[in-house]
Amino acid sequence: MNLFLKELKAGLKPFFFWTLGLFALIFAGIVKSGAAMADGAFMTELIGKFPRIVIAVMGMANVDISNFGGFYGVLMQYTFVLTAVYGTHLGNNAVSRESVDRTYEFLFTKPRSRAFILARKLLAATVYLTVFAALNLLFSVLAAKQLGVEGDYTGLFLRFSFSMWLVGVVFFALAAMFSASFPSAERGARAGNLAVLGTYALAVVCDLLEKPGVIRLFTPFRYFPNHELMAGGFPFEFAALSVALAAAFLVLAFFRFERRDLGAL
Amino acid sequence: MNVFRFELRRAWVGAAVWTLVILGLLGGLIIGALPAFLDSRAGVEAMLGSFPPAFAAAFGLEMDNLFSFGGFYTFGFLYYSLFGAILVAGIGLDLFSREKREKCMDFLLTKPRRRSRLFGEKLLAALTLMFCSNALFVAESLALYRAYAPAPLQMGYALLAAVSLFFTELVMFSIAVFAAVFARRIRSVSGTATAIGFAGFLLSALHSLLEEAALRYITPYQYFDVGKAFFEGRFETPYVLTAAVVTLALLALSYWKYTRADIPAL
Repeated sequence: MNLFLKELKAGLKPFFFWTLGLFALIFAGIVKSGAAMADGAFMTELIGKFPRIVIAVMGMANVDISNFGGFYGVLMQYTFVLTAVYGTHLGNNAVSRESVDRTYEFLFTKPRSRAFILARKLLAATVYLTVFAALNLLFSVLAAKQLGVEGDYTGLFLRFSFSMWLVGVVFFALAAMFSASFPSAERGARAGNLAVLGTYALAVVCDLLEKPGVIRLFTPFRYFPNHELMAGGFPFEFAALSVALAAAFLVLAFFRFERRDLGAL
Repeated sequence: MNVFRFELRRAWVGAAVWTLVILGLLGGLIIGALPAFLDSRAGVEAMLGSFPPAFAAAFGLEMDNLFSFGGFYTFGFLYYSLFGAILVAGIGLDLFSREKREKCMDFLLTKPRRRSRLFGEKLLAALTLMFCSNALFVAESLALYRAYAPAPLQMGYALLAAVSLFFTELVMFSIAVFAAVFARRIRSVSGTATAIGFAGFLLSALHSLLEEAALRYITPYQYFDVGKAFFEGRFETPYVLTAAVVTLALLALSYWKYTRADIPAL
């Protein structure tokens, strides 16, 4: 319990800054949405018929600003990116903070197994990720109320916030695995961050192609596309895939961490 | 020039790999997608024909700019900026927080060199890397422009558009140097660099979504509008001034702090 609380305390300040970013993104986006949505309906319908590559180059991929739900979806695509970067940060930090600070001999000489320690650290990070997604829901509801959007969007907010959590968890687990696998902390962190960048690039390629097909499987940023969530559905198969991926990465992280040569930087 | 040589030696491999990635991204997007994109123009025009003439006319005005090398280059530029920003933020953070991260500040500062000299050599090493990386980027951009854009070519405009990556990178670099010098500790260079790069990316996305003019003053990726450079051959003065002021101010503050800061006991 000590370790868990200590981890929570250590993560509080970064969490505060990331939350500030989320808050700014959502409030600025939603409060200003009224002006941006004007006369979008006809344009959206027209542009929707263009080839996908043209839509993407016009910057209208996954964009439907004719109604509030669509506008919110665009905003959420960006919070997915934010969450992915934050999740990566959490995963790296949980695994290699003591290595970076060169204080690992104080922690890992305690009478607890490495798996025990890592589990508490990852748990604390998951708490932050979960609160982050919950705050996304809260900010969305508050901002929509502030703006006086008519209609009940709570279900939509909930679906997007849950998707955001899943995206975050995948990148979090991936980063933890990389950090545990590479001998140097900096290299592990680099691999995790490169994964975010690479999958985002794949998501853009996905938008350019008429039939993305199997590429979608490789980029969590396209697991939860706007049009599906807006239509009231939820891609359960992709949610299951996210959970499975995260679980696999975490198992690997534990496996590698047990065998890791600590202290190498 | 020992510091200069040392920093170059330590950082050039990473910078070279990143530059290759950016060059690959640029080439891949243009060679892989530009022809298909230009081919789709006929289909879009046919579709527009079935719409009210007033609307088709309004839209048609934008067609020439959209379906051109410049239009496609502008689309990709957001991503080149993102990758470029992460590259230079990485260089800035790496060079200026190296001793802090490795807790060996005292070894460097006890050498018989002024701190201003150390700062200058590190800055020079970083700028050298950025300059080389961008020289390649500009060369590839112009080569692709010659190969893929129909005549008449406007090399001057294309050059200006390609160079705007360097200017954007300068702004992001100064932010990274500022962060490296002022932060108490940098745990992970790549993590912080990615965060800085994506922060700029999200600001840029928010700006294009909301079309709020005031927001552009805090959006480094939009200080130099590639579209404007490509089609009109100029940048907008207020934003260029903002970029210059931000860059110089951040670098000056970093210099001030670097040459005066106390070195914490370990």
